[in-house]
Order: sequence, then structure tokens, then C-alpha cells
Amino acid sequence: MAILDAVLAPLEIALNKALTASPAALQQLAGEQQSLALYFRDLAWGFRLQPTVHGLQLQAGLGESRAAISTSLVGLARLLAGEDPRAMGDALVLEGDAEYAERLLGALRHARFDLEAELGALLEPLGAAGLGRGLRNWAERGRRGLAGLLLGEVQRGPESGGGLANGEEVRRWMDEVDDLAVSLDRLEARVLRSEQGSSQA
Amino acid sequence: MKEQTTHFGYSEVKWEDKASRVSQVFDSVASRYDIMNDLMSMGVHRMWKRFTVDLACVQRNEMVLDLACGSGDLAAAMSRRLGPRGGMVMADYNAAMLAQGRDRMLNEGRAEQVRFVQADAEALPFVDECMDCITIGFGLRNVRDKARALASMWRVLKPGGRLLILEFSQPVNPVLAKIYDTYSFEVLPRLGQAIANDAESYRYLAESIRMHPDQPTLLRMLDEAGFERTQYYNLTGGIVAVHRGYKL
Repeated sequence: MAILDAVLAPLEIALNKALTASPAALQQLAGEQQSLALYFRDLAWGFRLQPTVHGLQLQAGLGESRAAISTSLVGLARLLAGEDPRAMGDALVLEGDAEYAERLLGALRHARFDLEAELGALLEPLGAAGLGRGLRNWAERGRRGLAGLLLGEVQRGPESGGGLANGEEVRRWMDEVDDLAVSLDRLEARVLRSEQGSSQA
Repeated sequence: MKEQTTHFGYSEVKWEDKASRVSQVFDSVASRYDIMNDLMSMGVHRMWKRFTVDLACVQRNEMVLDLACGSGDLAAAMSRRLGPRGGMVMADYNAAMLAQGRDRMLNEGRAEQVRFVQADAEALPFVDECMDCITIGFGLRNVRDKARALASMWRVLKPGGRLLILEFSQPVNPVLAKIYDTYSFEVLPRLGQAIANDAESYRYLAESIRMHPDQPTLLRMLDEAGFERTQYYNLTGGIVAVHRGYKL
């Protein structure tokens, strides 16, 4: 799949720019050296992601890897959007060291991709600013549509003030709500105990 | 005993003469180097260099060596990413080209974080394992003993460091190869004569490109020098290729 292999270099550059802009994401990769194989069943094509000091190296083909993921493009989008791989059933098959795969994918989730800037940089040398703007708008609409489809997110309406939370942010917020609920339960129990103590006295 | 020789374009020259002859070529073209690059490649060399810099993915605070730095296109782009604590060494065998690079960095206000070294790639004057990243753009084909130069680069790289080689290579499409041949041997020397008043140097350029190892051969040389995870990317149909290897 030489044609698809040709996208690996721009993909690696885009991934590494995003990782460089997210020190926490880069930190997650620090010290790792072994590869994660990614195979797309719908394209019958795969590649390996190998951590380096500057991010990731993408290599064509499926060599020996510490973990291997077999999925579809939609499956990968769901995974990167934060969906639990254990809940994806046949849409994703994970072999090898699942914890390692989760660590690498976690770094990618932390990285912030600037799709508009990447497309702009790609198209700038061609002098196709108009085409670039059109493609960027199209890609952004596609990204929002895909996110809505996969995560059930609502489209941002004119009345909403800011961007929608992504899956990771929603999960973190839900965890905080759970923590708050537990703290409230404890507080309630303490108040009850102190009330009981004072009535007995 | 048979005298050791090497190639200088299509000619055989004495081993010890090649470096000075290459130097004469660059002495002759140094003042018109940038304008000739733009004309010869129709500006595409800027994209090749940007791709190389993006692939190198230089991080803040890293130490980078740009070999055969010339007028400093790669070094200037990378130094912007290094931050105030990062360091850059620009090295070139040819004093006239190094002066072009130094003047450019001075004019751009970047000289503070850059050191300039006139150096031979075959015997780099640096301690072991001191560089995070080494780049060499359009320079390796002029090196006399490429295997020795690669070994020298491997020595000065830190573990985990990477080497990127941007160099003319072999077009993968036969039709493109034919067009490229005609352009190189018919158009380039005339362009060199018209702009730099030097057809010979640009004839040498075309010949030296044909004598340079093709993509798989150079990849094998990187492997033999000890580099790992080696790979290459063809640009503009293989007219140029970027090879990368890591010291692990």
C-alpha cells in the first residue's frame, strides 16, 4: 500500500507537532521504545508507532510489536475520542500488552491537534489559500459531525458561548461530581453522628 | 602501490584532491548560492527543507548540529524551535559557505545561540554523544568517505539522537528520470553560466548527484554505521530523499 504509506510522513509530522505542544502528552511517552502496531481492517493496511525523544516515529508495515490493535477508521476515531476499548466489542481487537497500548493512546488523546493550522501549512506552499479555507471548513464540519455521531455531542448553536467538552473532559467532570457526592455523604454522616452525640449528652 | 582515487562528478581524482576541488566549486558559487537554489529548483527546495525540519522535530533545549550548513536554511528554521536554552552548531567544510551562513544568522539576530565551526564531516571535532540531532542538507554527496562521515556522526550523537540526511537521489519514475536528466545536463549548466558565470560547477552538481548512492544503498550504509529504525522518504518523485536513523 505505497499510496497509504506516503501519508505516514505528514501524519507523523502532525502528530509530533501536537505532542510537542502538549508536554504532558510527550511526558507519557518518555522512556518508552517499543512499538504499537495499528491495523485498519477496512483499508487492509497498517503501520507501527514507535516512541522517540521527540514524539513518535511512524513506520510502514507490521513488524514485531509490544501491542497490536486491529480496528477500522471509525473504531480508531472512537478510541481517540476516549471510548473504553473494552466496551467496543468486535470493533476493536487488542493483542499483546494492553496497558502499554493504553499508555501510547493516552498520550495521543492528551495531544492537541490543530487541524486548521496543519491543513493551512500543507496548502500554503501551493498558494491555494481559497482552497485551503474551503477544505479547512469542510474538514472542521466533518470533524464536528463525526464527533456528534460517535459521542452523541450536540452541534454548537449560536446561543452557546463556548466549545463543547470532549469525552475526556466529561469523564473528568463526572469523576469530580462523584467525589463531591461521596464527600457530601460523609459530611451528612458526620452531622448525623454529632447530632446523635449531642442528643445523648 | 596504486594511488587511491575517488570520484569528482564523473572524473576520477586523487583521494587527497577531492576536498579541495569541492571547495573550489563552493568558493565559486557561494555568493550566488541562494538565488541559484531558487532558480534551479523553482523554489521547491524550500519545501524539501521544511519537510526535513518538520521531520527532525527539534525540541526546546536540544543541541543540534547542522552539517554542510551552507547559507543556513535548515539551521535558521531549526534554531527558531530551540528556545533560549537550546544550542545550534553550524558546520561547513567550506569557509566561504560558512561565512554566508554566519552572516545570515547575524542578520536575523540568531547568532547568540549558534556556534560556527569549519569542520570535516569525516572527523567531527566534537566530543562523543553531545548532539541530540544532526542534519546534513545537500552535503553528503560531496563527502569523500561517506561511511567514515556516518560513523563520525553516529559517534557525536547522544543515545536516542537522530540523523537526517536531505540529499538529491534517484527518481523512481523512469519518465521523470529522463526529464530530470535532460534538465540537469542541458539546462542547469546554462543557468549556472548565466547567473553565476560558472557552468562547470553546475555540471559537477549534476554529475555528483548521479554518482551519489541511491535510496536503498544509502539506507544500508546508515544501518552499517550503526543507526537503527532507519527509513527514507522520497520527495518530488525521488529527485530528493530524506533518510533518517536513530542512535539507540
